[in-house]
This record gives sequence, C-alpha cells and structure tokens, in this order.
Amino acid sequence: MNWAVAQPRSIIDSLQSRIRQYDQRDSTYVKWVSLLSYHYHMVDTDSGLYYGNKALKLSRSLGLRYLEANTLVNISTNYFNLKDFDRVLEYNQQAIEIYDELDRPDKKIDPLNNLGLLYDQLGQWEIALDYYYKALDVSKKVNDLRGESLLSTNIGSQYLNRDNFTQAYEYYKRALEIDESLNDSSALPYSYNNLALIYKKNKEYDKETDFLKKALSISIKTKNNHSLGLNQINIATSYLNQGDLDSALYYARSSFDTYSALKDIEGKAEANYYIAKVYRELKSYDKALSKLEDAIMLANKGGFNPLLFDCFELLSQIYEVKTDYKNSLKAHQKALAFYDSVFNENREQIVAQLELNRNRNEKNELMLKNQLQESELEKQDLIINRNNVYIILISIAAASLLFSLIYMVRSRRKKAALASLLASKNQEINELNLDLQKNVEALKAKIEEIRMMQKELIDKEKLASIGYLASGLGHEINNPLNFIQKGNEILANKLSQIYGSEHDMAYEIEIIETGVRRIEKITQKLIAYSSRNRSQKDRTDIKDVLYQALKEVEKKSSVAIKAEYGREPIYVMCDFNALKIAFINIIQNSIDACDKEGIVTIEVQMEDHNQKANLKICDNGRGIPDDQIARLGDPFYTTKEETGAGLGLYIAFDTLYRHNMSHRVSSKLLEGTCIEINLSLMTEEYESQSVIR
Amino acid sequence: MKARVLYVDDEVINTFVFSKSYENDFDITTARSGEEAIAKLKDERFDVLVTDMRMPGMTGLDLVKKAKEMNADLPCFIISGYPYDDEIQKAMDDKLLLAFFSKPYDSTTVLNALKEAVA
Repeated sequence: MNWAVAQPRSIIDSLQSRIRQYDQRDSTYVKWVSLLSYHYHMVDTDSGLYYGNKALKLSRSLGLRYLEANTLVNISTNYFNLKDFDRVLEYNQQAIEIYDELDRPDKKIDPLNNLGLLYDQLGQWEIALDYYYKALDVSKKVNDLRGESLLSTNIGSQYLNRDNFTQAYEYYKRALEIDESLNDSSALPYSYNNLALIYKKNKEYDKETDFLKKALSISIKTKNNHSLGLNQINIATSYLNQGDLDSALYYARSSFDTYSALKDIEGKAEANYYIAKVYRELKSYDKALSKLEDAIMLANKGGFNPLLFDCFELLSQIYEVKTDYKNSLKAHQKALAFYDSVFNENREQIVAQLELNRNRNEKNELMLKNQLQESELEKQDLIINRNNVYIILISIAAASLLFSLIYMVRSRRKKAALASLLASKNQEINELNLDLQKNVEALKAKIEEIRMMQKELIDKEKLASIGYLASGLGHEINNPLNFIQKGNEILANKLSQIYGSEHDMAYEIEIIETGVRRIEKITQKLIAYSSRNRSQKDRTDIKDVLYQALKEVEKKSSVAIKAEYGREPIYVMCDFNALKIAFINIIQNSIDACDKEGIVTIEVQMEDHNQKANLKICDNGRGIPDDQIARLGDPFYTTKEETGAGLGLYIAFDTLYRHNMSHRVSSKLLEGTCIEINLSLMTEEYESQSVIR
Repeated sequence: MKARVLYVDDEVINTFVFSKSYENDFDITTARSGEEAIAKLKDERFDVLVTDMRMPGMTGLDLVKKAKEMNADLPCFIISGYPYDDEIQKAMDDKLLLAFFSKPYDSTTVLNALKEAVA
C-alpha cells in the first residue's frame, strides 16, 4: 500500500483527455504526454515507457530541450520500477546535463533525488546521501521549499537506516516545519509518520501515537481514505505496543471499515490481520483465528505474499498458545513458503541462516532431552513428543524472528524508497491538483453565479409577466365590480323602499359591499403600480428616499426603528416615489413581523471601495420558515389574515428589479428576518454619460 | 324639470346601473359608443356629459373634445376602469373635464359632482 494509489488513475484520465485537444507538434501536447509517462509509472510501466518514448522522440524532433530533460526524468521512474537501474542512472544524468546547459538548476532537484533513490535502492548509502545533499543544496539555493522538505525527508530516512535517530529526527523535523508552513496536506502525513517512526524506535509510543493522529487528521481532512486506513493501522499498532488494547482494537476495526468502504482487498486483509493481533493479546484466540481466516482468504485472493507470511506466522503462534502443535507447525511451514516466495532473491542467504539455526536447534534439542530424562517415566513418550514439537517451535521462532528482522528492514527500506520516489513528484502532482482545483472552484463559482442570475431573471420575468397580467386584470375587474356595487346599491334602495330601512337583508347587502371594497383595494394597488412602471428615473440620493419612506412608516409604527446610514450621499438612478413605496412596503413588513418589543434596523453599508452599497432592513421578529422564503414576494401571498392583500412585497421586489437592485432574504425562526438590497449605484462612467446627454 | 345627463359606456350593465342610480335626480339618456353619443348630442340638448374612457372606436376623451367643439360650455366627466394618467391630467388642465372618477365609483361623490355641474 502507498499513499497515492487513489490519484494516478484520475490524473491519467485527465491528461489523456487533455492530449486529445492538441496537435502532436504542439509543445503542450509533448508536455502532457511526458507527464503521462510519469503518472503511469505506478500503475502500468508499459504505458509509462510508451508515452515517455513518444514524448522523448517528439521533444527531440521539435528541439524542445527542456521538455526532453523533463521526459528523461519522467521515463526513469518507470525504469526504476522495472529495476533497470542502468537506464535510471543514464537518463537522470542526461537530464542533469541538459538542465545545466539550459541554466535551470531548479529543475535538477528531481534527477539528483532520483539518483539518490537509485543508490539507496542499490544499498550504496554513502553515494545516495551524497546525491540527496546535492539536491538539498539546490533546493535551498532556488528557495524550493517543497524540494527542501522532500530531500530532508529522504536524508532523514537515510539516517534512520543507519539507526542514527538524532540526525534522522533533525531532518524529519525540518521537513515537517516546511510542510506545516506550506500547509502541504499531501506531504504532511509523510512527515508526521516519519517522526512517529522515530518515536516508535525510541519506544516513546505516546508521542508516536500523537504524530500518527496528526497524520490521521490530515487524511480525514483531505479525504484521502487510503492513507486513512494505513494511519488507523499504524495507530492500532502503536496502541498495541503501549498495551492499550481497547484503543488498538478500535483503530484496527476502523481501518477495516475504511478499507471496506474502499473495497480495498489488501487493506481489508491487513486490517483483519491487525485485529487478529489485538485479539491474540486479549487472549480471545477464537476471535483471532476467525479474523486471521478472513485475512488469509482475502490475502490469498490478491496474492499478497508478504501479508500471508505475517498471517501464517501469527496463526502458528496462536495455535502454539492453544497447544495445537500440529496446526502450529503446519502454519509455520506455510509462512516459510511465503517468505521464500517473497524473498526469492535472498534464498541463499536464507538457506545459510536456516542452516545456522538448525545447528543451534540441535543443541537446544539435546539440552531439552536431558531435562526430559528427569521427568516421569509413564508420561515420557508423550512428553518427548510434545517437547519435540516445542523444540521445532523454538527453532522456528528463532528463525522467523531473524527473517522478520530482515524482512522488516528490507520492507521499510523499500517503503521509504517508494515513498520518497512518490514524494519526489509531489510538487508536480500538487501543481496539477491545485490547477485543477482552482479551475473547479472557478467553475463552481461561475455556475453559482449563472444560477443566481437565472433565478433573478426568472423572478424578474415572473414578476413582470404576473404584473402585466395582474394590472390588465385589475382594469377588467373594475367594470364588473362597478356592476356589482351599483347593482347592490340599487337593490339596497329598493329593499328599503319596500321594507323600510330596518329589513332583514341588510347584512347580506353589507357583505357584498365589503367584498367589493376589498376587491377594489386590490385593483387600485395593481393599477396604481402599473401606472408607476411608466415613470421616469432621476439621479437621486438613496438616503432621501429612505428618509421619506421612514417618515411615512414611523407615523403608524408600533415598534422601534433604528436607522443608520451616514451622511455621504449615495446616488442612484431611480423613480423616487416607486422606490419609496418599495422601501415602505419592506419596512412595514418587518414591522408587522415584530411584537411590541421588536426593533427594526436599517443600515446602509458601502463595499468594494464605495463601488457597491448594501441596504439592510432587519427585524427581530418571528422569522420565516425556510419553505416560505421562496414564496415571499409572490403576488397575493400573505400571512396577514386581516390586513394584507399580498401585494406589498411583490410590488417592492418588482420595483427593485426594475431598478436593477437585487435582493436577498435570510431568516431564522424566532430570531428575525433580514432583507439585503444591493443598491445599483450610479457609476462614474454612467454619471459622465448622463452629463453628456 | 330634471337636468339631462348623457351617459356613454360600451358596457350595457354600466348604463343600466347608472340610469337606475340617478333616475330620481336626473333625466338620463345612454349611448353605447362615442359615435352614438355624437349623434345624440347633435339631435338633442344635454346638460351634462358623462363618459367611459376606453370604448371600441372613439375614446371617451375624443368624445369630450368633439362635444366641446359642439358646445364649449357642456360640463363633461369621465368615469373609467383605468387610472388617472397624463392624458387625463392634460384634459383637466385644458378645462375639457370637470372631474375624473375611477370605477367602481362612489355614487354619492358622483351625484354631488353632477348636481354641482348643473347648478
């Protein structure tokens, strides 16, 4: 498992789609193809080499020296994975030469680092360190902090390999400082984990846990679930070492959940292995066995031999504790088989070690045999049998301890090399990611803007068309309304003539009259409003409009109104009366939302160096439920049963739209409502235009 | 003798209710269009003209202008379902109209205005 599994595929896909847009002779095309070579190195080296050679050929035929050097470095990562170290050396050296030629020392960091990794892999640590230091010098000179962090990490790992914890700590710490200062969420987990590793070496498990948890929080923040799973396992191990088995179990299980969600078989297998380990410590052997069974099944599925080795080793140990020696031996043999297949290349070394162990075991066997002779005769056979198994087990344990050590050192070194290699390209991945992220953000903002505009347009259109319809309707209603009212009057007169003034149909006559009056009010508002739409706009100080609106509202207001809007005039082009009525309607609405202790506040704020002005009308009234906010301003929508026709805010909002003033309503139940109006100011350009006119 | 009022409206019910409302106070004749009203104004003498504004053909204001040409002293009123606007304002300024009423109008207000006009 590594830290960046999740990324290459999506980057590759994005690069693949980009290159399709360019011509082969375009340097951008070559650049993307070259990058593809790099990004393929983790997933498919054949494709990596294919794209790399293509980019190399193109950059050479087009004379793009800089891209040629970049490509050499990118291809080399594929050769590194293929263990073709001669080519790695050759390509990176060539790249360095080209960068020297082009006077681009800043670009030398990667190839120098790669050479360090190469010698690291070959076990020539002095040379590796030398290259790392060279790369570090360059990164410091060109002030490349990410490079410096990466190299500090690699150098730290070198010192760790030599068990020089003080130096390792110093370099890891420096890397961490840089990562923290850059807030580099892709590199920070490495640094935290590295420092955790040092504390682990020093057996300062509580500090190890602290750092692992820091790495964990970043994995959570960056939603990097692959590293999250690994982190959880590391923390589980740390707690296991501290003897905090509950916490260990919790984290091991969490990691299983993480990997399950990712459908990562290897991760799930590993998590099960660690859960089993904790159960063994908890002496819940059956549970441990069941988890191991799961782990082995999963690891078999994916052919994860190193993990299978670990699993069978643990299985062997558990059977041993359960005194099931037969199965213990069987498990151990299986473990050895996997060990063999994993470290095939070191077979001779292993055979030698085995031989050595066998000799030791024979000695042990003899000693134990002597002890056995002193035991009871009737149990002798059985005991001898059991002791034989013990001897075998002890020898196995000794051997496996040694193998584990070798395995640990090798795998750690391998992991460190891989991690460094990965980290070496972090900058480019980061840049690409940042770029992508920026684009996505920009796109999101644009979409939001378009959506807002669309909504405004719809609202505006909705209001305008409803307004047109309503005002037309208002006129048409007036005639039949006249029939009803006059007919009612005539009827009332006739009834009075026949039955006298106190007849029992007076109430019916009255309700018809009430209905007519109410309809009349509505049509009057609509008609008065539609006639205003034809009105003229003049340069006006918005504060005068507000002042007049407030004067009218305050006359009948039952609550306190606080208005703050400075002295500087704020000029807008507006129809004074229409806007005044809009403000009156909005303020009145705020007043109506309040109880007796309510306060309505009105303020004007200047923004963007006086380029924008916001008018905020807020109340501390009952608030509006979310589902009703959208209906606010719909004609005839009202919550006031007695007094409202549901036209006040409709007319207000429509007037605002006609003045190009957008508005926003925010509300919290029982806390109040704010209507924020973006006043459309007269710009200087507009003002000068209007002067010319 | 009651004063004679010519009421013009394309809506027959309006002419009906107007007549019914004021039959005790005035002698009311109705017309359904500006053209019909002009014909009646040519043939008969009226003390007051009350007309709707928007009608098919001639508008209420066109009718008032023609009527004034025929009889400059004829008191004229407009009762409309449409609002008071610049055109009406101008007619008022030019003394073509004594008053403008919106439908549904207040019967008493109109009655008083008519009485005042013929006094």
